[in-house]
This record gives sequence, C-alpha cells and structure tokens, in this order.
Amino acid sequence: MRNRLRELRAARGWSQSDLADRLDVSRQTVNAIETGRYDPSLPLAFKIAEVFDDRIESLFFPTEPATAESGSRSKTRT
Amino acid sequence: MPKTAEVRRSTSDVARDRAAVRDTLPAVVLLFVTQGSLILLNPDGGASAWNLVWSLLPLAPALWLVWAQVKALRRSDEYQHIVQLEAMAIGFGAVVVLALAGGLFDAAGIGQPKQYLQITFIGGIVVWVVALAFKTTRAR
Repeated sequence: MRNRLRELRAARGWSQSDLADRLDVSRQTVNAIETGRYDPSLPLAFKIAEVFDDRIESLFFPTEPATAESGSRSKTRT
Repeated sequence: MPKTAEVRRSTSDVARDRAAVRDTLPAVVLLFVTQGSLILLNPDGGASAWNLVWSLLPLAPALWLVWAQVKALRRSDEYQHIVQLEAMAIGFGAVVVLALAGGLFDAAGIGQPKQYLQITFIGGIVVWVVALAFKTTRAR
C-alpha cells in the first residue's frame, strides 16, 4: 500500500519523531509506514487521518497491479 | 538540525525504554548474583533440599525477565509487535535447530549434553537479540 505520510508530514514541517509523538507510536513505526514496509492497522490509520485532518482514502492507496494494465508479462520487478 | 530532530526518539519510545529498564535491571542484577554465587561457592552436588533450592535459585530472576519481556511486549506498538514476533520466530528456530544438532551429536557420542544445553540456551538468545537488532536498525 502506498501513502502520502511523508509528503503531508513535510508540509507541516514535522519530523518523524514529531509525528510519532502525535500518534503515540515509535519513530521506527512512522518510518516503516512511510517507506511502505508496514501497513498500519485500521485504528492507527484512523488516528493518522485524524492527526492530518484528512480522510483515510486520501492518505492511503492500494498498490496498483503490476501487469493488469500494461498487458505485458515481460516486465519484472527488481 | 533537521537530522537531529529526525533521529530523536519519540516520547512513547523513551517511556517504553525507561519502563523496560526499570522492569529488567533488578532481574539482571539478581541473575548475576545468583548465578555468580553458584559458580563461586560451587554447591557440592549433594541431594539435600538446600542444595536443590540453591541450584534452582537463578530460575527466579529468569522468570522475572520473562515477565519483564511480556510487559515490554504489551507496551510496544503494533509495528514493534511484528518486529518482535519475527525476531522471536528466528530465535525459536535457532533453538530448535541447535537442540536437534545437540541431540544428533549426543546420539553419535560426540561432546557432552550439558554443553549442548548451554549452547542451545545462549545461542537462541543471541540469535533472537541479533535478529531484533537487525530488524530494528533496518527500520531507522
């Protein structure tokens, strides 16, 4: 899943630690969410939405299918 | 300055770490004291009840450490739960493999079971801690 956390956080001039303080989580957790290594639970996603005063669906997006639109199987991820 | 701000631990991190030290430190000290007394004073290996109690004394701080670990796990956030779970799975896997290797060596008549027990115990903890450190560092 992709998200806009880094962009929104930077727009507010917050560090990862600042955001972690607001969410009551560790900074590593914020980093893992921002880099896409971890998808937050629904309660945490709601909390993130509340902190940024936005809707969940405008913060998180499903990752696009790799081959559905390209119609090609020759592309591989590295 | 931004870099300094970026690597600062969050308030909840600091609170969790302090609580973990508060829960763990007395148990670690007690473990060293009880284990040290066993090594230094060396019980004679007799079958007396006192000898049995003395030999099992390090179990008390060990159980304390387990309790501290469970409390730390409950305090951690959802991502840390996953990191801990993966590290524990790797550590548990290491214990299983080391115990199996020890059993196979013992069956072949190589080495001493006591040594394999120590290697399994220490090896499992080391692998768990290293896996945890590696996964935590990766998330920085």
